[in-house]
Parts: sequence; C-alpha cells; structure tokens
Amino acid sequence: MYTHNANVSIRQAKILLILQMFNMSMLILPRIAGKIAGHDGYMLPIIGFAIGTLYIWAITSLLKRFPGEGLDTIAPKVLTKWIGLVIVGLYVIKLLVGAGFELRMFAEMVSQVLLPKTPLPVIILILLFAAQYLIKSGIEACGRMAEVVIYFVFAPLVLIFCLVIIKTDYKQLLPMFTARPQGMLVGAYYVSMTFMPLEFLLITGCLLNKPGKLKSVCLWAVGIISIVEVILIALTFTGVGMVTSTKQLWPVLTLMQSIQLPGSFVENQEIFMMCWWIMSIYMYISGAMYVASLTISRLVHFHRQNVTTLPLVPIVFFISMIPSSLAESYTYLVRFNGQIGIFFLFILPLILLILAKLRNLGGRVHD
Amino acid sequence: MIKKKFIKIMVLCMLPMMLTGCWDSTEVNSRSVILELAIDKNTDYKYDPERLLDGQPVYTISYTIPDFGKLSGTDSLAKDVETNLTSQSATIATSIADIELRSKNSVSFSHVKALFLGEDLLKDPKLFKATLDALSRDMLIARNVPLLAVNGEASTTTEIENNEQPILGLYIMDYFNNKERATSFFKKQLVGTYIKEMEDTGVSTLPVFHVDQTDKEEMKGQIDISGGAVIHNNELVGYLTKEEVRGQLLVEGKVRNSPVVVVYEDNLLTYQIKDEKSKIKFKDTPEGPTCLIEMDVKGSISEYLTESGTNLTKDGTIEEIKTLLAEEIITQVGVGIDKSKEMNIDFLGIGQAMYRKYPKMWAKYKPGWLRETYQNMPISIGVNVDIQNTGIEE
Repeated sequence: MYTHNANVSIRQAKILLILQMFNMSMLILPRIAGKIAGHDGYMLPIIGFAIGTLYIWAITSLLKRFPGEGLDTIAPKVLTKWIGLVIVGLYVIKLLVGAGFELRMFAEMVSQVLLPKTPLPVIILILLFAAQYLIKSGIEACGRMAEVVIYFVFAPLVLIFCLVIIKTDYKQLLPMFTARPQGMLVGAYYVSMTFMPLEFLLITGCLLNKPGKLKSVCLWAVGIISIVEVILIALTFTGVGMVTSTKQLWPVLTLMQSIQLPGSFVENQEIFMMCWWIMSIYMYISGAMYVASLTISRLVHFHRQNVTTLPLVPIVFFISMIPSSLAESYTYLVRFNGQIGIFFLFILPLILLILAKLRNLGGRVHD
Repeated sequence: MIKKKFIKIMVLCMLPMMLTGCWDSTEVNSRSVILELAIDKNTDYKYDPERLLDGQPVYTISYTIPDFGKLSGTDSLAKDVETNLTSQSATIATSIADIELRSKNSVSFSHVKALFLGEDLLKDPKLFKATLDALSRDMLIARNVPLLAVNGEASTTTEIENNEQPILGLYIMDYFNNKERATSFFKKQLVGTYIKEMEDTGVSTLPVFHVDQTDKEEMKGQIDISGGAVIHNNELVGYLTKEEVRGQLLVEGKVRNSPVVVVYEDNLLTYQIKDEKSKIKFKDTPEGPTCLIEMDVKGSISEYLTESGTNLTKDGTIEEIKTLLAEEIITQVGVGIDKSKEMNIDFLGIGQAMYRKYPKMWAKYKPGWLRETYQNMPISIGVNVDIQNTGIEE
C-alpha cells in the first residue's frame, strides 16, 4: 500500500471534515453562546454558517487557482520564497499548538469524567501514539477510519437528541430576539471557529480524488455541523437552562448527565457518550498532526513522507502540558482559537488570492 | 512471517488485560454503592476552637449502604439488607472520608436514587447552597437524582421500614419513575431541575417527604410524599399543602390522571383529568398588568351514581357538568394562587412567564414585582373542559 499519495473520496472527505469539526469546542459551545447572546444563543450557528461560507470561498478559490498544490507551494510562489516558508512554518506551528490545547482540554475532560486517577500525561500520550499510528498510513487510512467512526459518534448523539427532544422544556429558549446585534456577530464569529479544520484543506485539499468538488464537500460539512450546533445549543439551554449553561465549563456534559433513560435501564450514560466523543477528538488530533507532518515532509522533500509523524508526538505533548490547570487550558484554547484562528482560515487565503490575481499567478479560474 | 503473525496475535490477546485500567481500576466488590443520602444541618453545632476546621461537625449525613447479596436473595454474610452509617462533618467531602474510615469499602455515589434534605438545612441558605455546590461541582451525584425535602430530620428517613421495598432509595426511584402515577399532589424535583429553577428565578418547590417525629412506631410502613416546600433564594420559606401544589401544577399545565369531584344533581361526580395545558397571557393597563390563565383540560367521567335516570350523554347534561367542572378547577387553581400571594413568593412562575413572552413588560415591572405588582395584579382563570367519554354507562 502506498502512503501519502493516496486520495480520499468525496464521501470520506465530508465525513473527515464533519468529525474533525465535532471537537472539544462543541462541549463548551453552549456556554459561549449563552454568555454572548443569552437565550438567542442557538441562532449563532446560523450566522456562523454564513461566516463559514466566507472561509470556504477563500480557501477553495485559492486552491482552485492552484490546482494540485497546497499552501507549502502556493505561499512561496505568491509571497516570495522566504516569506512563504515563514508563513508555512507559522501554519505548522499553529496546527501543532491548536492540537496541543485541544488535546489538553480533552485530557482534562477525560480526567474529570472517566479516569480521575490516571495522570494527564498518560492520557495525552496514549491518544498521541494512537493518532500517530493512524496518520503514518496516510490520508487514505484516515478517511477509512472516519467512515467507521462516524457511526459510533453520531448514532448515540441522535439517540440523545431524540430522548431530550421529547421531554424538554422549550420555554427556556424564550424570550427571542433580545440579544444585541453586535453581540450576535461576535458570538457567530466564535461559533465559526468550530470550522477551524477547514484550514487543513490548505494542504490536503489537493488529495481529494475530485478536487473540483471541494467547495460542495466543505459546504456540506459546515452545513451539517451548523445544524448539529443549533440543536445542541438549543437542547442544552432547554435541558440544563441557559443561565446554568453559562456557569458550567462543559454544559453539554451536564446535559448528558441530566438525561433520564426510560426505566433507569442504564445510569451514568454520560460515560458512554464521552467514550464515543473521544473518537471524534481523536480524528481532529489525527487530522492536525497529519497535516503538520505532511507539510514538513513536503517542505524538506523527504522521500518517505511519514517520517515526520513520530517526532511531532513529543512536540504536541509538551505544548499540551503548558497550561497548568483546567481553567488555564480553557482560557488558552478559547483565546488561541478566537484570536489566531481567523488568520489561516480567511485572512491568509484571501491575501494570497488577491496577490495571486494581481500578479497573475496560478491557473485561470472559470467562474 | 509466521513468527511476526504469532507475535501480533499474542499482543492482541494480551491487550484486553490492560483494558481493566491501571490507576482507575476498581473492584466492584470493594465499592459501597450509596442508594440514598440524607443530609441534615447539625443543630447542636457550635464552633469548637480546639478542633481543626475539617473536624467541625456542621453536617449530619446519613448514608444507606445496601447489601446486594441479600437484596438479590442470594446468601450473604451481612446481617441486614442495608447498613446505615451516620457522619458528622464539616463538609460533604470530609464526611465521605469519615465513612470510608468506618467501612471496609470505598463509597460510590454513581447510583444514588434519592437525596433527602432536612428542614434545618433548608432553612440555612448558605449551608444549603454549599451542599448543592458540593454535590454538583465534582459531578458527585447525577443531576437526574430526585430531590426531596423532609419536614423534620432527614436522618429519620433511614429508620423507616417499608413493607414494599426495604431500601428507601429504590422505593423513591420506582415511585418517581412510575409514569402511570397521577401528577397532582406533589411536583417531582430533580437536582438539575432545582439548580436550573434557582438560577433562573430564585424560586423552586421540593416535594415533601413527611416524617412523623413523635411516633416512630407509627412511621413503620407508611411513606407519604405530598405537598411542597417552597424555596426562595436557597432558603425554605414555607410549606404547601397537597391542594396548593395541585393549584401550582394546574397553572403549570402538568396535572395528569387527577380526579376532580363535583356535585351534580345531588350526587358526586368524578372527572379524571387525563391531560391539561395552560397558557398565561398578560395585558398592560394603566393600573398595572393583568394576567389571564387559560387552561384546556381533557378527561373522562369515571364515577357518577344517579337514581333519577340522568343520561350523561345528553348535550345539555354534558354542558352543565362542564360548567361545574370548570368552576371546581378554577377553585383549585385559586387555592394555589392565594397561597402564592399570601407567601408573597411567585412559585407559580407567573413572573417568569411574563419575562418569556413579554420581556419589555417584565423589564418595566421587575423592580417592584414582589413588593407590589404581583400582590395587586388581578389573575383571571379561564378553563375549557373537554369530556372525552362518560364511561360505558349512560
């Protein structure tokens, strides 16, 4: 089997993106939505979807202009070699730091809910090595893994939604339209940060077996995640309460804990749900590390591109150990995503696109 | 090649042994699963400067540890089906440490079925809030655990011997999970729902577990869960009778399978409410807001004895009965409204309804809501009764 030169199908790409976007941010999303927009927080993903389409347009337009290429070749071409390499280097650092903070939050959550006595480094390293084992086989393996994992993640989620939807108190969503418009925009921006995995396409976009379908793949994934977010926030508000959601670190976890399965057949069901959530986080971490390793391999022209996967493990590990507590890791994650996330999602692709058009670089884009 | 395969198979076979966990592996037999928890404030407590902070007996907490061998009918060395341990401690966490010193097992709260809170604890808002914070902050107990107020000492509940189910926690679980039970004389409350209501409005009601302090012999076999304890800003402010709770549930639209009795042609007629919905509407007038509670009630006539040959299926008869039922239901709702105004606590959720549907009106009246607005606000009730059937007899 060949590694790192295989393609992923449209279906695999959609599933991969959906799973990668379904990460730790989902657990804290109702808190952010409630704090910023109050009872109208469930509307934020709708506006967030509109913002997400801008990200998709910027990234796919850039990749369409340079078919078969990724950021590692586009940036040096458009921005001159050394500036481009610096930008790509920053991109890799951003991926690794983002993965590290996400991993830390995940480990804190696992420590609190599932394994309180297991040391955090053990939890983090186990996931990192498992991710490394997957990504060393290339994107094709990631795609096939995603096709299996999606059922384990979303089937229980749909079950939870069904259980909560039946008995929930929808009055918790009232009153409507009381949030300030500025607040809604800020909130929608933060919600759109859940679409962060779109930046992986800057490197892996050319690995799609039908690159022309990239935009529809992205729109599909972002659309589905937006719908899931609306439902998740609304159900968290109705199940846990809007005010309570803003005071909880992981209100979705609290929602899962408050569900009563009929006949008390199963208790502590939130543990099962967190187990399945782990798979989604695993796909995100794998995706980030894969893209980082592939970028480095391409930059230094390694013959075997999976050589760089293992050395990334200690780097991500040390980044994840930087925050000294749960509160700090939460702050780091929210601030990092909020302040840095937009750069590679929208600003850089837009700048590259504009410069490429001005300098007449890249293939013709047929509108 | 075969050697590599063999090694791979051996590794895969060894892997499940590691799935038991290293740091977090626990023997089930080493755990005492607490099924019910009764928490009281230690009323005899006075700060003792000679003791450390964590040795101050602020709480009296009773833990019921069942013996599952005896419960399931198998042989067991335990004397009784349950063991009750009481601890006096400064906090919930220190009480757990104390209990684990006195028991061969460690304690697990993952299957708590009921949480009983004593009257003195409920009257101390700071301690009550600290109790709930301790239980929910570390997810010690699940948010879907039933919460009950005890009109006395919560520890008394551990002395009750019930003939149906010896473990009170399991009794409460079955009691609350029984969907066929009528919802009329007490309002089920869960830990999570209580926290939600307290943070939304600062008002909540807990079902009351009645204990007769004077006659412990009389208590045996009798379990009475009815009425409500009104909690305002985490402090017990009063009790509701079961009729007052029924009024509250009627306003909230939650009454199910509840009988309504009226007199029709000198005979008692029982109407069984199957389903009930209510809408609260408001109107802003120069004199202040007015409130209209519109209720739609669906049910059937379940009992009526007549010797005069009255035919219940006649249109005229049905309309007369509907009118009588509507008046009776209005009276029942009025009981709850009167109590709410008498206590000056909006446990009916009328202010919350105004906030949800008319936020601007609420912003106008919120500052003086309990001071004057709620007291003076006229509340009208409109009831639409639907008699779905009159039984198999005319």
